[in-house]
Parts: sequence; structure tokens; C-alpha cells
Amino acid sequence: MNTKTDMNRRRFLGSTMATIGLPALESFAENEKPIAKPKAFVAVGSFFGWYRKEFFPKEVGKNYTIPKIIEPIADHRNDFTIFSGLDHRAKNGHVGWVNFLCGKNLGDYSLDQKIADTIGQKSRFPSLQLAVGGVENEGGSIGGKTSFTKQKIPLPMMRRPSVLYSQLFVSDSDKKRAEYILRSGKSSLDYVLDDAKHLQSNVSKADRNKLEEYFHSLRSVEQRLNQKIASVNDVIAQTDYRLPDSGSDPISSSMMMEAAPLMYDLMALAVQTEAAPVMSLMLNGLGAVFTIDGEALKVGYHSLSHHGNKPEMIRDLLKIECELMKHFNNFLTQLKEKKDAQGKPLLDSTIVLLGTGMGDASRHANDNLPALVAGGGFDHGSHVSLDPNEYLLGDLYITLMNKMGVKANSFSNASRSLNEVFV
Amino acid sequence: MRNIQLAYVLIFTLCLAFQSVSGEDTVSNEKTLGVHPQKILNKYCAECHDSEELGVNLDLDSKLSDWNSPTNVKLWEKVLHVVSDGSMPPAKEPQPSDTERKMLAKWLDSSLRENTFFGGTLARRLSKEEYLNTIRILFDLPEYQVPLGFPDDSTRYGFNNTGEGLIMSPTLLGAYLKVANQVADELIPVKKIAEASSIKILKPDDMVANYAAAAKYDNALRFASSGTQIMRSCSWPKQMTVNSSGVYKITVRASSFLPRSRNLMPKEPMLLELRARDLAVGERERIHRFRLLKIISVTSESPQNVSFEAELYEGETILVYWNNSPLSYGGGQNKELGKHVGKRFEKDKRVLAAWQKVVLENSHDPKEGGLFNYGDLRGMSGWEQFKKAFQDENLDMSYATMDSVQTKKLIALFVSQGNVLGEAFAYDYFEKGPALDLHEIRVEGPLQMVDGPKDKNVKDRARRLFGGRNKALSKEESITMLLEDLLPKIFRKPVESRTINAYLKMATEHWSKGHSYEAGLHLLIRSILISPRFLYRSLDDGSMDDYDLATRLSYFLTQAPPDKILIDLARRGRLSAVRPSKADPSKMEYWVLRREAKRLMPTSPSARMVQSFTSQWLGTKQLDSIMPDPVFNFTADDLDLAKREVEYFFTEILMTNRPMTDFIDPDFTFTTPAFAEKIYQVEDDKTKAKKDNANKFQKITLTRHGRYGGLLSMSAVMTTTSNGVDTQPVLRGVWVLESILGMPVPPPPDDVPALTPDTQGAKTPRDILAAHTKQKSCMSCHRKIDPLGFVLEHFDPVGRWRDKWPESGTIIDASVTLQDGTKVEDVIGLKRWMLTNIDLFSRCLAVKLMIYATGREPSYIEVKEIEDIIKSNRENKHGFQDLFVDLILSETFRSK
Repeated sequence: MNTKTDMNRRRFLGSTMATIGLPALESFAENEKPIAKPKAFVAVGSFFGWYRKEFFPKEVGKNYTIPKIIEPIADHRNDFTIFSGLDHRAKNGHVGWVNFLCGKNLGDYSLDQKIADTIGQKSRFPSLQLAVGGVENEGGSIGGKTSFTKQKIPLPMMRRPSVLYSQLFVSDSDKKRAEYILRSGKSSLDYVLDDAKHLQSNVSKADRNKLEEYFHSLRSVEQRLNQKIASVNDVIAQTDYRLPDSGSDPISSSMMMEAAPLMYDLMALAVQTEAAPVMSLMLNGLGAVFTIDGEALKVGYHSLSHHGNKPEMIRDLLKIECELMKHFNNFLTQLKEKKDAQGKPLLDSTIVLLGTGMGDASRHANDNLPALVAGGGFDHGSHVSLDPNEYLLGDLYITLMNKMGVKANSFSNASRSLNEVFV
Repeated sequence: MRNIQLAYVLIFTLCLAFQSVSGEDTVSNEKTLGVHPQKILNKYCAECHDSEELGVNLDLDSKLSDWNSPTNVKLWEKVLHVVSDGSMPPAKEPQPSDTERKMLAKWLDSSLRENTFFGGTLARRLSKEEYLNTIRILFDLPEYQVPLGFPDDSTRYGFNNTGEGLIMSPTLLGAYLKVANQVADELIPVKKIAEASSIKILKPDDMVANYAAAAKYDNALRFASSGTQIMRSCSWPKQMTVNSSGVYKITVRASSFLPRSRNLMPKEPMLLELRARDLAVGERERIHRFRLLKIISVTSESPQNVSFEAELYEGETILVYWNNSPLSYGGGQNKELGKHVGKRFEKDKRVLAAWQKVVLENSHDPKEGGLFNYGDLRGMSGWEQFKKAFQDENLDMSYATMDSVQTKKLIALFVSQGNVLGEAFAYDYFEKGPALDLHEIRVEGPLQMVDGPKDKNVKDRARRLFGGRNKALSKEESITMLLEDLLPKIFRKPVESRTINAYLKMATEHWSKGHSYEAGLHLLIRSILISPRFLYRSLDDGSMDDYDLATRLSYFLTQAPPDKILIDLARRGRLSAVRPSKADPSKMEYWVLRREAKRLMPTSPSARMVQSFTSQWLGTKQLDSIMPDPVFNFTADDLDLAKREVEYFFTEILMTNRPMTDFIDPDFTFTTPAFAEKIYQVEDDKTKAKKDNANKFQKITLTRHGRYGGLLSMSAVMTTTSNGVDTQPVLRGVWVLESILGMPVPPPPDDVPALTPDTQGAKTPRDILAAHTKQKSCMSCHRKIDPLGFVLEHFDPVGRWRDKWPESGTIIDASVTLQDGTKVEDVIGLKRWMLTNIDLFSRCLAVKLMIYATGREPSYIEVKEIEDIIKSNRENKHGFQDLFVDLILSETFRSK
């Protein structure tokens, strides 16, 4: 697969996909199996990083010994690739986690948003930003947010599984209210428009021109309302899945271990129903003391991340990180078991990136960031160690974007891509 | 760039020439001079400027005859500028005589005065800040926040509230619609359906156990301490929140845990407190912030049930707290912890020795009082280390006396690091008591629905805004009365019956489809809030009326809609009332406007106008994104202090009507004595005497004509114009030109790299800067920029004085020659020069205020009015407040 012709063909497909559509591909590629673009992208980030000595395998290539943190996902070892040596050259410091998706500079147009702006526009949710654990709006100057629009606006993060659930699988009563608000709002626009036109006829020429901005905006809002009204009664894929009946959401910092599996379940359902092609999940966990396997850890996740190389601290930190990996394993398993319309595992058409913006939380150093890519039709199974003087984490992101059909040859400070290394 | 720059740059070099043309004997019109100006132009300019090649085609005939074209007006402003400052014709070309030059300038000045006008602001929609304040005030929603991701406004002419910058977009209108829905939902909420009663049983595993607030022992949730911060002392259900405000029956099963015979427990029974926890309130809050439900006496060591009924409101859960535990730490109570452990140590020296071993091995030098690796001294981890030490046969007991240095240091650490060590110490009580065990909480309900505080607020607010509905009136009559009352307030103008009828029709049609009165009101609110009459200000033809004036004044001074007094004055047409001035009875004075300006003028540094204006004028908005390098020892708190200094400084000069020169060379500033000492190297003996005073924000006395004091020496400014690591003389120069002298410079060409001084080894910053003035393309701007930035090189990237450059160690020579040939040694010299040219600064600030107030760049004639105001302000020895008010009374301000 790793051939030059393959690369060229991929580029060709990337540029013509929109016009020729999928079925026509078969005639092009009789000798090779058709390569479809992945349909979904999921990024999972950890605020406190991943303990590197147990994340990066000691050996490179395919036959590496499985490190402790990777152990929970070992069943999928041929479906993911581990990268070492990559980072964003970002400043060291507390808020490094924010760099995870935005590269060198805090708050720059983030990877997930770049992908969503290209492929997400026709979906019910162009992108979703989720977080578990931690305290809302704490964690750095921008409240721990990690996704940023092109205009550098930090996107709010959803922390309540029940809210996500109700958005993905709207209940009838909510739907009725939503439809009522849309329809009545739309009908009232005519009056607003009428009054505004009357107003416009009575103002100076310069102001009349200025008001054209308003009319243009109003028409566009009206179109969007029409679209929403048209789709409000679309059959939204229903599900048998139910959140645990606990009465409220696991949003306090100590509930991260309960919240994460729910978020993963809902993300798998969102991929399956094609409700949201781009999602990010941040594992926060500031301040929380966890109970793992019935045993309460001695100190909080944050304190453990400042382990100072003490073995007991690292042992407990690894317990947390392995637990988080068990949740992640469950997610990968679901994506493998659930099949798309063609009967193929969802994982084949979903790129899952697991990483962090924090290299070593104990020192707040943000170099050599742990990164792992699963699914998406890549040739997996290896530990790829890259020369930090040659490559940046952004180079991997470029490759992920290209694979998703986003034309990009740079990301933040990177402009090289791993297209030759990782196919 | 634009005409502002063109009009102002000239002053820099040839103030004299300029003043003579703006003198009293203004030439009346072009006819009296007839051919002369044209002759001069033809003689000296036309040869080059007759084609598009040079960018400026003085196609004299057509351009002279058509003064209606704004482009032509701008062109002639530019011509006036280059003629006055002597930069045209170029030195190698034949020069006009002084008389010719003056004549041409005079003629251009009078023509420009005649052909430029007052007013012309493009329709301004409310800026993001104005919009938020307006929503909050109109609908009595003081806590309302626009949704995250609400678009920001773009900046034009340095401010985010100008007509040209306030663009409407589909995204923005979509956001307005979203807010309109949210506001309507807040005012007229959807009716709730009664929730069926149910029973929830909470076991210890269902409860939060953060830090050492509680821990699970023997199938109970055990409490050992009673600090005030809830996250360190309380527990609450992980996943139970009340959805419906109502009466609930709560049953608590608890017991005391007292295996230890030692008398650590006071005589009275253990008091278990149950409070209502609003989950929207953070975990760092204090216990008394939460509503008390019940205090239960726990007297038995075997579990007992206690039941009671209490109201719980939507969004609340139950908070559990041991009121009278003997151990208390965290949240300001660590002194208590110090005393407490002291008593324990006195009674048991082995305990003392073991804690000494565990803690002191992890501590820094006692002077610093900090801990290494505090993480593993926390909670059970610290406790286990203690137990190991305690059981160690070889435990060193030699310092285990109350008067040893080690003991004192240990107790001091318990006080300074109580949050960490208290967490470990609590385990002693978890294991041996006294402690309080919670076995189960049972919550049954709602037995009965009640109005929570939120429901009550909503009802009160609706009554205030909409009045009670008079049943004697029909729906139509009711809503008409309501619209007649609300619409003028929301639209800030009287509203025609045509508009009221349109909204009435909207409601009637909605009702005819079977919707309720309230649903009709909900729809009206949603629609009114996206009307251009609400979103834009002063949208109608004609000149500015009193309502427009009220709106302009109010948003300028308060970022909020006009209040009752202003609207009342506008309604009676009194806001623009005039009477003969006391000072000069031949002139009319806008006395009501003057009075209202003084009434609404900001009086506090935290006023929205002060914060918004100063942060945009001086660029200190950017401070939030600057992180100074650790070598400068400048913390986030210092950044905040620096920003506050600017706001206090501005407010003081305004409030106390100080002379304009105090902006440049004052004898005071505002900050903390600690900051003044650290950054401004100002030491005050009185301050030193009182240690508590060091971090109090206050007025600090400075010596005039010194290094520090005034905008040109302020830490906030020096930091804003650096990048946190290096100084950037070019940025500082541009800042001085734009913010102090009012002469914006065009952006640099793309191919020029940013200049970082003192990094190139042999090349000094002076050499590197000199390169600018050698290259022709750079020279025209950089000969103005560079000296003004370089002269500030003594200030490091946070505004602290330095004598040497950091890396090369060479002595800083910041002397420069200004554009007018004045040589200055350093910032002291620059300030001296500014004082003799104070009109430049006054005009810069006045024009900025006017752009911020009117939302437009002033025209030529408006600038002339501003100049006259400044001149008279100086000549009459008036202060900044006088200037501020006179600007509001000006024709420029009063023109739409």
C-alpha cells in the first residue's frame, strides 16, 4: 500500500470526490480495493498527559513489548499506531493541555475545527466538544477549553451526558417545543421584516446601505430556520441505549470515572448514527480523588501527576491512567463491533486520535507528547519513533487532515506531514 | 492612515506654519484668491503629479471643481499636509516661496473647512458590551451572560464601537435570536408539570469524598474535620439533584465513632448539619453560604434514624457537615490547626517526633516555610508515612520537645501548609476517632410542590416588567398597553402606532392559532429583540434629536441605555436646552447637557467607560495575553495591578480636573507600595513601617520630572509594547505616535522582519535600528517611529528601569533626535518635550474620545472644532474634566 502511485491516486480522489461520488470509484480501481475517506474524527485528550515511560514502548516497529498504559487496549494492537518524539514546540507550563489540538500557539484554529469546517457542515452537529471531570471554567485563562474556531473563539464544552443524549436523541416533548419555537419564530420574522423595511425607507442613504447588512443577515437566518423546520421531523435515529437512571449528571470532578464511559458510549452512537462527524473529549480530573477497583487512592489525580518520580505516586497515577485506557478500550471495541451501512466496522472509517498537550505533568514540560492513532484505514500495528528535529506533532495532524479529505499542507508550525511514513 | 493621520502628522515638524493658517483671518472662499492657488499648484506640482504613476494625480481642474467627492477632500487634506510640513515638493525640486506656501495652505484650509461637515456616523448597532448591558438593564437580568462563542466586534480607528466596525452578519443575527429566546424563556418560563413523589436511598458509596472531607470506613461515610470550605469538610450525593422545588422528607442514619479513650471530644453531643447545596455554587465556597436544613444531635454509637421535612429547590442537593468536630483546617483555619496539633504534640512526644521526621525531611529552608513534594504528604499517603515513622523503633526523639527549633518549624508548617498536612492529620481521627459516621440518607418527595427562589424571582420580575394583568381588559387591550409602555423603552425612542399595531397583530395572530396570552408575549419578546430598532441606535432620518442625544450620551458614558432622567428630558425636549453662558453671555451654552454629562461621567476606575476606553486607547487590552518571562519576576497579579494603575490614573485626572500635563508628568500614581518598590523603585519609609500596607492599592507620591510617572513610563504600557521577553523599540515608537501624539503610521511592508534588539552580538540595537533609516522604503516612517521607541529603551519589558542591555551588558544610551530636531537624552527629556507640545497630546486624547463617543473619525472641520476647544482649554488653564465636558457640548458630539 505504501507506494507512490497509491499516494497520487489518493490525492486525485481527494480533489474529485465531491463531483464523482462514491460508487464511480469502482471503475477506477479494479486492481486495488477502493479506499473511502474516513467519515468521522474523534480526539481524546488528557489534561495531565500520559506517563511517558509506560506509554511509549521501548522498541520501535511492530514487535514492541506492550507498556502498562497500553495494556488495556492490547487486544486492538493491530488497529492503532503509537507515535513518540512529536510535539508542538509550545511553551512549557500549566496550560499546555490547551495546545493539544491547536498546535504551538494557545487558542489557534484547532485540528478538530479545521476538519469540521470541511466535512461537518451537512451534519446535524458539525462538531461536538465534550469534557469529563474537573470544574467548569477552571483550568487556565480560557477555562480549560481546547477547541477553537477559525476566529479563535473557544468553544464551550458539554459536560453533561444527559444533555448530549437529549440532543442526539431528542425526546418528543422537547421536539415539540423546539418545533413550536422554530415555527412561531419564523412566522414572526415577516412582521420584523415588514417593520424593518418601513424603517429603512425613512433613513438616510448611508444608513439604508448599512441596513442591507441586516436584511442579508435576516434572510440567511430565515433560511437556516427553514432548514431546521424541514429537518425537525426527520427521523432521528433512535436508540435502545439508556443512561443510568441516577437522577443527575456525573459532573463533579470526582465523577470523572463514571462520566467518561457514558461519554464514550454516546460518542460511539453519534458515529454510528452519523449525527456528528467530529468530536473531542477532554479528560480533566483536576482535584478529584478516585476510587479504583474499590480502593480509594491516597491523593488526587492532579497531585499524583506531580509524582516527583516517587514509585508509590507513579503506581497510583498508572492506576488512573490504565483505568482511563480501559474506558478507551471499550470505545474502540464498540467502534469495531458496530457496523456501518456497508457492513464494515465503524473503526475502519473513523480516525481516533488519543493524545495530550502536556508531555510531563510533573515538570510541566510540553515536549515529546504521547500520541496514538487508531482506525481510519491506516496501516497500523507499530510504534513509530520520529526524530524530534525532523518532525512535529502538527505533521501527524496534517496527515490526519489529508486522510479526512481536508486539503492542508500546514498545521500551526508544521508543514511536512507524515504522509510518507504513515499510510 | 486615513485623513486623521494626514491632518495631524504635519504638526510634528511645522507647528508654526500650521498655527498661522488656522488663525483668525480665515480666507473666505476660493474666489477671492481666484487663480493664485491653482497657479501655485501648476507651477510646483503639476509636472510630476499629472499621471497615475506617482499614485497622486493632481488632475487639478476636475478635482478642484468637485468638492463633493470624499476622495477629493481626502486628497486635498493630504496636499495641505505635505505643503505645510515642507515635505513636498521634494528638496531637489524648485521650492515655492514662504508666501506662496502660506497662501496655498491658507486657501486649502478654508476650502476644506467649507467643504467638510459635522456628523456622518454610519448607523451603529449596539456593540457586544453595550448589548449585554442593555439586556441586563431592560429586563432586570443583572447576571445574564451572552452565550459563549457570541461574536466579538471588529476594531476600526482603534475602537470596537464605530459605525464602520459594527457589522451585522448572519452569525451575529443568529446569536441575537438565540439570546432573544433565552431572555423570553427567562421572563416567561414554560409551565412546570408536577413531579410524582419518589424515594431515593443514598449509601456511603453514593456520596462525594473529596480530599479528606470524608472517607469510607466500616460501610459508613466517616467525617473527622470541620473546616469551613465545603470541599475540604463536607460530603454531598454524587448524583442526586432536586428537579422540582418542593417539600421533601429526609431521613438520616448516623452514629458516633469514639473508640479512643483520650478526651479529644468536647462534652456536648456531636452536631450533624444538613444544608441545601445549590450545585451551581462552587466547591471552594464556605459552609455558611448554604441554607441550613436541620441540625441533628448524634449521641449514640449505634446507628439511629432521624427524620424531618424540609424544602429543597430545583438544582439543589443535600450537604452534610459535622459542625463541632475538634479538628479544623483549610480555608483560613490553619492557625487553629497549628494550635490543635501543638496540644497533641505536648501530650504525645512520639507523635511529635514522627511528624517531625515525615514533614521536616520534605521541607525547604524554614525561612521559606514551603514543602517539597507536598503531593505525597497529602491524605492517606502522608498518614502512612507518619505511621511508619511512629512505629519505627529507631525514631529519633531527640528534638521532640515543645521548645525545639524543629518543633516550632513543624508547627509553623502545619499553619502555612495546613491544607496539605491537615489532610494527612485527619486520618488519625478516621482511624481512632472521635469521628461521625453517616450510614444512609433517604430522600422522599416532592411531597408538595413549592416555588423555589428562582420561581419567585421570575414572578416578581414579570410583575415589575409587565405589571399584573388586569382581568377587566381584553387580551388585545392588555398587550397594547404593555407595548405602549415597553416598546419606547426597548427602542429608546417614541414609537409610532403603526409599529405598535404590527406587534399587536403578531400577537393576535398567534392567539388565533390557539396559543395562550403568555405564549403571545413570549413571541413578542423574541421578535422585538431582533428588530433593527432595538439592535441599532438612532436610526431615522434628519438631524440629531434629543432622544438620539440621550442615547449617544448614555452609551458613551455608561455603555448602557439612557436612564429615566435622560428619557424624561428628551421627551420634554430639554436635553438640548440652551441659555447664555455665564462666562461669555454672547455665547449660548448647552447647560442641561453639561449638567447631565457631569451626572453620568464615570466616577470610579471600575466604571465600564473607563475600562473599555483606556484599554482600547492605550492597547492595555493586550495585557491579558502577555506572559512576562520569569526572569522579570512579574506575576499575573502584577499584570492586574498594572492595568488597574492605568484605570485609577485616568479616573483621578478626570475626577479632580487636573491639567492635561499630568497625563505626561504627574506627581502621583496609583498602585501598591510593594509594586511601586518592585517596579518603580520607589521606596517609602512610611510604607515600610507598616507591613500590612504593602499590598494595599493606593495613591503613591512621585517626584515630577523623574523617570517614573505618567503614561510614557507606566508599567502597563511598557509591558503592552513588549512581548514579555524583549523590548521592541519599534512597537513602542508606533505606540507613542498612535496613542500619545495621535499620528497613526501605516502597517510595515510584508518583507520586513520584526526587530529584536540586543540579540545579534556585535550589532547594537542602535545599529540595527539605524539600518531602518538607511533603507529608503523604511526611512519615511521609521525616522518618525524609531527615535520615539528607542528613547524608552531604559524600560525593560515590564517597565522597570535598567542601565544596561541584558545580554551584551553594554550601557544603554537612549539619546535620540526627534523629528523637529530636538535632542533628548532619555524618557525624562521626552516628557519635557511633550510638556512644551502638550496640545499634540491633548488633541490625540480628545480625538480618541470623540471617535469612541460618536463612532466616526472626525472630519476636517470637526478636527478644527476640537483644536479650538483644546486651545481654549490650555489658555484658560482648565483641566481634563473641563475638556471632557466641552467635547460633549461640541457640535461634533451633537451631530449625528
